Formats: sequence, structure tokens, C-alpha cells
Amino acid sequence: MSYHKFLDPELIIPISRSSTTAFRTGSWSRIRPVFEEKFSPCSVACPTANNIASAMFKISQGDFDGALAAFLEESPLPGVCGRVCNHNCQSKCNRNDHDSSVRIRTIERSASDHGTAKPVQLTDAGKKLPVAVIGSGPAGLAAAYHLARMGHPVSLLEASERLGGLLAMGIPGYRLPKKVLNHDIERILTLDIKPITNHTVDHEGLEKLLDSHKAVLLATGTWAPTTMGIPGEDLKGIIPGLDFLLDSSIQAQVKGRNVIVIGGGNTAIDASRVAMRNGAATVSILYRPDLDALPDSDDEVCEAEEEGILRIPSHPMEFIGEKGEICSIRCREIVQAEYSNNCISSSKPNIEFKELFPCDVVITAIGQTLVASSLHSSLQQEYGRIVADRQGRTARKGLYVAGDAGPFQATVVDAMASGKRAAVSIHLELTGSMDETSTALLDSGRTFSIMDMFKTGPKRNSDASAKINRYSYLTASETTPQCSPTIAADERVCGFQEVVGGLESKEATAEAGRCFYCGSCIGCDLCATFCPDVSMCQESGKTAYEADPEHCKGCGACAAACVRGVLEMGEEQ
Amino acid sequence: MKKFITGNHAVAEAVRLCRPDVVAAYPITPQTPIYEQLADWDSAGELGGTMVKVESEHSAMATCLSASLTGVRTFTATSSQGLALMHEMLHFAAGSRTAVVMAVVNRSLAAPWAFWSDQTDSLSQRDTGWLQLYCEDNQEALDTTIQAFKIAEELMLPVMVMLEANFISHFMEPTEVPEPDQVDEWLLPVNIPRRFDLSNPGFMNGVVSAKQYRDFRRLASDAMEHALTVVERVDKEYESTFGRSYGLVETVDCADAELVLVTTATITSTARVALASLRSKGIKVGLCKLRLFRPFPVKALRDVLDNAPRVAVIERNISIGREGIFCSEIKSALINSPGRPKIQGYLAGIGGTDVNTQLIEWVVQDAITREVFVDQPIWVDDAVLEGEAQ
Repeated sequence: MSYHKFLDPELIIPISRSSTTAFRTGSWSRIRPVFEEKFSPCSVACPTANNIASAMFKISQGDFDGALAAFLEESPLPGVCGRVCNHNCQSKCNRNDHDSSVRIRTIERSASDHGTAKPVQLTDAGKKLPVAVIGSGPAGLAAAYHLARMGHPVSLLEASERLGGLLAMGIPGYRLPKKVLNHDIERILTLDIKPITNHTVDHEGLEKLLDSHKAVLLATGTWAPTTMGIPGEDLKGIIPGLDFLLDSSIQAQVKGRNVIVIGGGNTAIDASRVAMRNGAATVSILYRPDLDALPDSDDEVCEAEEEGILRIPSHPMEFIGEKGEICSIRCREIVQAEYSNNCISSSKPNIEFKELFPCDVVITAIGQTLVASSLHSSLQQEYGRIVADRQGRTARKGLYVAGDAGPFQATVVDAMASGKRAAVSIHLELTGSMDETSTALLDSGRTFSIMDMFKTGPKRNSDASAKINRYSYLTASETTPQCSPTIAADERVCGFQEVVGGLESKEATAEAGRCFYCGSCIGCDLCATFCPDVSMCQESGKTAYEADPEHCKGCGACAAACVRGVLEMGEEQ
Repeated sequence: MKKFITGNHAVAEAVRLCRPDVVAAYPITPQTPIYEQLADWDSAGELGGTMVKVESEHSAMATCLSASLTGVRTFTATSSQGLALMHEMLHFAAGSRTAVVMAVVNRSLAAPWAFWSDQTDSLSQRDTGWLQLYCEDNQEALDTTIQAFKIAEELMLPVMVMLEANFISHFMEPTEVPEPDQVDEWLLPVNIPRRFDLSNPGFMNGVVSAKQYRDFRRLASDAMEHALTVVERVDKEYESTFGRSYGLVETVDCADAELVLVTTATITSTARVALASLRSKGIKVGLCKLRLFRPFPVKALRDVLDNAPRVAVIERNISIGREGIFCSEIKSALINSPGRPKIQGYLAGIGGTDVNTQLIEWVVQDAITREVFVDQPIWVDDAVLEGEAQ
């Protein structure tokens, strides 16, 4: 066949045997992918902003040490929170729309059970600026931990003989074994923290501390019972909930007796279950749907009901006694309207109303308030708490408040969160580095991340969580969460053994593998795979992907492929 | 060996004989039996090569053209909506100078939805740079498919082979299926350049300058013009081995004809019968069957029609807003004819309606006696025929 130019394979189509880099497609657009790790919805829901996605990914890879380190970035008590946290995180899990949330609390516990890690020092800028923390509950421990990580020598003062505050004294061992708490506390004490127990601080003591330290944080909690203001409250046999939980000799008195607990929150549930374990003949909870707090999570209500505890909606009007001792409670009927917002699924409001509830012991658990002491009375109070702003700053310079003593939500994790915010506020104030950005981060946002405060570059917005690519749901198979082993109700009421067990490491790995890692880059490489210009690259030693500006034409394929919402399209910088 | 088979089956037989390396297709009525037959043979291990399952015709064509660039023999088949969906990739297949062969079963395009014979689907792809051959019957469909591989691979241009819905795709006819040895000898193993080659990686179709683009188009156009020679030569080579040939156009009784009727595809067979009847009545009518549409065989047509006093084009397609597409092409091909034949377009059989001998005779009578040739097409339907009968 004769030669024809139009049949010469080298001439009839444009073909390059060198590289596509000759085509500078980067000039086509000003739009570029922006790599930015974001808060996952669970992290935003977590008051201490735990980096859950990162911890989940590490456990899914079998790295329990790395996962524990990730939790310790924001929170010093993974063993505690892995058991008693009210896990707001799980209600915001994107997996809820797919099958069922990842059991994040259980995984935090697994990280603590199976991993080892040390706290990481963030800076030593605070090393000549000592701070005193009064109270060693969750707020005090968290504040001391973070202050020490920022270099401050910390004096941690505790009125009782051991550290832990409410965690040590108020939460029964079947929910939080002492050795777990102690393990967390020992880790905190590896930092520059000087614990001083059996040390009560009064007004005078506070003044001294303010002289000897650059700042003082009050984290004394609320230990005084609230009264109901109804007749007969002074009868014998009526015991405040916290007193009951603190004192085993009082607990022993309920053996064989009929016990009624009044209140709806954690203390009420704990007190009733402790009474059951101390051999009470019957235990009922009377809760006022319109007034009483609800327990932090359904799990505990279910467990209490399994143990034979009745929960009855009712409204005590009067304690009736005989020879100075309580013998019954007179109630009024609950009207329907009082249920409006306050009924949870496992409550049984269909129990027939009774006017008189006979009983031998009444435990009141309707909330606590500040102890009336010279320390507290010198400070401005409102609604039974010390007045402070979001950073925990009181009217007095150098004096901060965190936890239940301040105007913060009364849960373990919220107390820890307020301790962290106060610690950072103290640090920035003492080192003269409080600026507009820091103030904004401390004063706003649904959650607060200390790691963000110390990272360079733009800070994440905690009011907006990562927008996950919902197509990822289509490829994920529906799975059932791993079940934690639980002791049967009739067996567990005989003692104080921990009711819910932890997962084996293999089960934990499987559970963490259910996580979508929203907002976190896990190096899945989808962005690079789908880039038509081979321009997405991961710099060696770095996790971030970056588009090569010479060749990225801003098509957005990478951002569409990023199931975790880390890459989004934006203007060229 | 003679087999009594449908046109779809005949195409599948031809494809199997040509030993394709890659077949990627997506089912669509009325093409599906081609795909199914090939799939049956594939699962029985009788096809050889690789059948690729795809999610759409667009991907079927993307698969075939990419495979062709690796230097292998490729085939696909589609129809109507499937062809329309493929449109973008058709340009890529031709612009990349691939040798993809595709059978297109001509079917009406939606809307409204229908499954009848209509050529507008493939004629809409006129400007994609593919060769187009229209077949009259099952045998021609088989023979043209075998020829198409040779043509495509020589020119590095993709080829479409058209068979009409139902009339060819589903009607059974005795069809001569050549022996495999014969076809192997006639159609040598594929030998096209491996432009995608793992050992010599390359990036194709990067952005080009305006001048470069123009020059590539020019080369494709030159290759298409050269195709006229290649199609004709391959047809003759085929005849010398298999004893059958079709030409670019075929003529019957045109030498003394006062009117030449131009047809394509299945209408031709009916016209042959009508023509015999008309000739027996002393009417001097000839028949010209157009087989090749792209490249358009201008010279071959002018050889036949330059001196014909009258031409009637009868066809089963329409470019709405103008007329039958073949008619427009023929008018433009004859614009420089010294004899300036009068040309009248007739639309018949659109939507797969029946084009019978009575209808064709009416067209011939109308064209041969007509005093005024009009620019618009004449719709030949039942009402026209009944009106004439009264």
C-alpha cells in the first residue's frame, strides 16, 4: 500500500509520549480544592471536642495507643468518660441515618482499656506562672491537666482524702470502678501537678492562694442538697441523695426497707440502684416530669428498670410521719400538660395514680447547690452558682470558676469542658497572649478544642461540622453495633461489680471501622484517583492533599469524591 | 453454509467470524438479539476475545474506542436512543481515528416512544466522521459487517453498518454464512497501530491549537475521501472470494430510463418487484440503490443520474423542516450535473409503515407524469393512495 499522510498513525491524532505535565491546565480556572479538616458532627456535640474521627480511624487500624493519644489531646479522663459520659456525640453520628450510631463511648473506653499513651505538652510558656485549682472533680482535674500541659505549675487542692471529687464519691462503683478513675488520675499526675488532699480552703485561704499564685480556679462543685419546701422535710428517714451515695453506713440502713427516691436525674437513678444493692425491700422513683431533670441517657433508666426499680411520675406534696419518722408521701396527680417535653421512651406513666405512697426511707435527689461556706459567700452568686462568664472569669481578676460551682451545665463532660476553657483563658491572660481570635474561640462555638488553639493556621469553626458526602452511605453496608457484655440484672444487684463490660480489642476494631471519619482525612486517596489531571498530591510526611496549581483546572472531581467533606472547592489563595 | 436466520443473527454470525478481541454493548430493542447471541457464544466459549458489560451505550463506545487504540479489533451494536446517547463518544471514536465497527438497527427515535423502522437515528449521526453503509437484506448485513472490519482497519476510521428494525433485524431469510477458514484467509488478524501501549505510555488528545485542530480535521477528511476507493476495492475483493458484491450504488435498468427511482435499504427489495411490473407495462423506469452514505459517493451517483431526465427519491426518514435526508444529499450531489435532472422527494414508510409495490408504483406514476417538481417532499400515505384509486 502506498504511503498516505492521512493514514500515518503518528500524524492523525495528537499523542504525547512524554507527560501530561506539558499541558498547563492550571490556568483554566481560579477555583481550587481547599484541604481543611473539619469538626465531625460528633466532635461538635462533644463539649470537650474530642477528636473522635481520628481516634476511630486509629482503632480501626488496631492502634489503641494512637487512639488513646487522640482522646488525651482534648480530655484527660478517657477511662471515666468511656463509662459515664452522656455521649451526646452518638446522637449526632451520621451513621444514625444509615443504620445505628457508632458506639463512640464504648470505643473511648476501649482506647483506655487497651491503649497506653502519655499526655503531650503543648507549650512551656506557663512555667513561671503557678496556678492553684481548688477541687479535684472532673472540672478541677481537667483544668489542672490542661494548665500543666501549657507549662503552669499547678497546686491541686482537695478537701477530702482522695482526688476525684464527685467521680470518686458520687458515682457508684458498678458504673465507674475506682481503679479506672485512679488510672486516669495517675496519668494526669505525671504532669507538673502537686496534689494537696485533706485541704479545705476558706475565704482566708483563698486570699493567700491569690497571693501565692498567679491565678486561682474554683472547681468546688455543688455538694449541698436542695430542699423541696414541703411539710415534713425534717422527718427522720429522709436522706439527701448525695449524703446517701457518699456514706456506706447510711446505705446499710435501707436493708429490708421500702425506699422511695424523689428526683429524675443521675443522682436519683444512682441512689435507687445503690439502695437496691444494699438489700432494700422495694425501691421506687417518684419523678416530677415538669420539674425534675432526666437522666443523661436512656441506658441507665433501662438498667434500673431491669433491676426492679419502678419509676412513677408523681408530685409529692407532703411527707407524713409517725413518731417523727417518715411513713408515707402524699402526692397530687400529674396533669397531662406536665409531661409535655419531659417524657422519655422508657418511662411508664401509665401506672395508676395513688395519693399515698407508704415508705420507710425517702432519698431526695432533686439537685444540689453550693455549700454555704465562707469561701463561697464572699463571691457573687446567682441561681445557686458563682457568677462567671463563658471562660469562667469571675468579677475578681485572677479568680476563675469551672464545673458545677459555676454557671455551666452539670454533667461530667460539661464540667471538664468548662475546666478546659478556664485553663486556656488563664493561660492566655497570664502570658499576655489573649487576642481577638482566641477570645472568639473561647466565647463562641458549640465546643472548644485546645488543639485548635495551639495549631498554626486557620481555626476550625465549631458551629459548622463537616458536610459528609451522602453517597458514601450507598457503598457502606448496614452493620449492627458491637454489643458490650452486660451482667444479668438478678446477678448484678447482689454487688457492686461493674455492670457493663468493655469490648475485646477485635470487637472494638470492628466497631471503630463503622465510623465514616467525617471531616477527617484518612488518606483514602480517592481525590488523587479521580483527578483527571493527576494533580492531587500528598506531600511526603504530611497528611494534607494539595492540588498542583499548574495543573489543577478546578473541575471539583476531588471534592466530589471526598466522602468526608475535607476537600471543598474555593477561590485560589 | 446456508442458514435460515434473522438479520440480527446474521450480523452476530459475521462478528463471530471476524474474531473480535473486544465486544462492549448495551441491550436495546431491536438490537438486543445481536448482543444476546454474542453473549451466548461468549458464555459457551465460542466467541473468543472479551465481552465487556457496561452500564450505558456511552460507556460501550468509550470502551470500544479505547480498546481500539490498544490495537485490537472491536465491535458494538446499538439502536435509536442508544445511538443518541452514544453521540458524544462517536465523535471521539472518529476523531481518535479508531477502527470500531458498529451495527446500528435503525429504529424510530422518541418521542413518542416506538419500535418501528426509521433511519433518522443513524442519519442524525451523519457528521460524526463515521463511514455509513445501509443494507438491503440479511445477506447484505452479514457481508457488509465482514467488509466493515477490513475497511475500518485499513482507514483507521470507524464504520457503521445499518440494518432496518424488524424488516431485517427480526425477519428470517436464508443467509449464506461463510466458512470460518474462508473468512480467516480473507480478513487477516488485526494489524492496527497500538497507540495505547503499556510499554510505551502516551497521552492522547491533549489540547491542541486552532491550526493543529484544523489540520487534524483535514487529515480525517482526506482519509474519508480515500474511503471511497477502499470501500469499492474491499467489495470487489469480497466478491472474488465469496461471490457477492454490492458496489457503492447499484443500478437496475437505468440506461434508457425516463425516471430513475432512488432507494436505500429494504425499500429497494420491494422496488425491484414494482420495477419489473412497471417495465412489463412499458414504463421506462430505472432503479438506483444507494448503499454508501458516508463518504457520499458523488461520482458514482452522477455516473448514473447526470443524464436521467427525472429522479424520484423515496425514503424512510426525515429532517424535520426540510425533507428526506437522502433527497437533500442527492440534490446537492447533482447540482453541477449538465443535464440538471428534475428531482422529487417522497416520504414513505416513516414510522415503519408499509412500503408496498402499489405505493412504489404510485410514486413512479406521479413522478413520471408530474408537470411541476416541488421543493418540498410529498408524503405518500394511505390517504394519497386511496385518493388515487378513486
